[in-house]
Amino acid sequence: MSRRLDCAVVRDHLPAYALDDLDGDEQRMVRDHVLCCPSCARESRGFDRTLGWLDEIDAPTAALEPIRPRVSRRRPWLIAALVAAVVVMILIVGHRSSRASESHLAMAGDGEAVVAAHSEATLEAVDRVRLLRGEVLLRAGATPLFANVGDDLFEVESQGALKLTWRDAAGRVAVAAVAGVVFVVSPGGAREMLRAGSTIERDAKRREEGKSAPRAAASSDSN
Amino acid sequence: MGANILTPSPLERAELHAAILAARPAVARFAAHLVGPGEDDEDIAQEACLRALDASARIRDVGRVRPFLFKVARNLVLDRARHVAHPSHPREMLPPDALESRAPAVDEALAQSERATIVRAALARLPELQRTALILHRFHGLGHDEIAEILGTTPGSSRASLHLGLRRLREMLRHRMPEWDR
Repeated sequence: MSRRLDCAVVRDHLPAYALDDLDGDEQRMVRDHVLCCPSCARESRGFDRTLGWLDEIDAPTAALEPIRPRVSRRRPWLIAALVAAVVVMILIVGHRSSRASESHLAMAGDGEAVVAAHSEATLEAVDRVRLLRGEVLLRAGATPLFANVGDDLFEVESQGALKLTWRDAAGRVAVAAVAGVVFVVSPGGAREMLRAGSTIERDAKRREEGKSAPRAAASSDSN
Repeated sequence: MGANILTPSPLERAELHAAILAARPAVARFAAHLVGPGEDDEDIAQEACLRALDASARIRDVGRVRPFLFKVARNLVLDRARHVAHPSHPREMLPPDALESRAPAVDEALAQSERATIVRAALARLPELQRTALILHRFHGLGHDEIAEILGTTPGSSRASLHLGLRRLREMLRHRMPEWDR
């Protein structure tokens, strides 16, 4: 087999070689050729360089930059800290007959996230507002949880900082401060994204008047 | 129904949830690679997860959750590209001259940022099958069988798309990267 033909065959295999996607014998054959052929070695380095640059765009910080415009490109650690500063919000079953009990879940790490929830009030509000269907996906950072609550679906995503407030029929307020963007998914599938700094207030009177459809009033001054 | 938060779910349901949630960050990452960073990636990942929940009766094996989510995410991206002149398409979100010009970098961080812009633009110019195969293999470590399932093709075909995609990407970058020969 001529050297020229060898090179042609090897070059056909260089993408797979760079991706380590050849079987053992093929990988060794290409490697042995590349080691002694400067021209194919140069071609091979081109694939390696391409993959190296490709890997650079997979960095998590690169993907998050556009949604955190205030974070300097030169401080990727801050993006990582924001992402890491997340909260797992657990709503614990409460008894309707008991008093509203306050539970605080103060989250450690990076100073971003504190969850405070009046658990029973939250339950009441969730119930009466009929915000929830089937289950709640509470996701903060990498630690999401599901909770079954009712017939609607409510999803919390964690990006940024957000405070949610519900007011139940008795006027009690449930507050959940989370690090996140919150998506509210209505029974019909419509999705409402509430940005950081918003407050959702569910008016108990409206619910008592039978206007039970979720109705979010977002304001931007309460974060 | 108010006092039923955290009501125990069937085991299968819990397993499905855990599998969905475990895969969700990867799905969002995958979507970000397809639509461009910071665009609708989270929205797409969310939609994919919701569809997986809806399809829970059909997902018998938790091992099928990840390919299901990736497949749905890809289809959502393709649907958006087909039906909407969506501003998040990577070709449109990048500077129009991203592949044509490049100012000298003043430091390595800037150089890397500019390089990433060029690489994203080049990646966006790959045919969709090649681009997606490359993303799934390189960024998510998926094997050819799983990639083929997501792409709706054969393992041999997805492998060929992967290799051709890398070759084309290399050719584009070779002509556009000033530091190619450094």
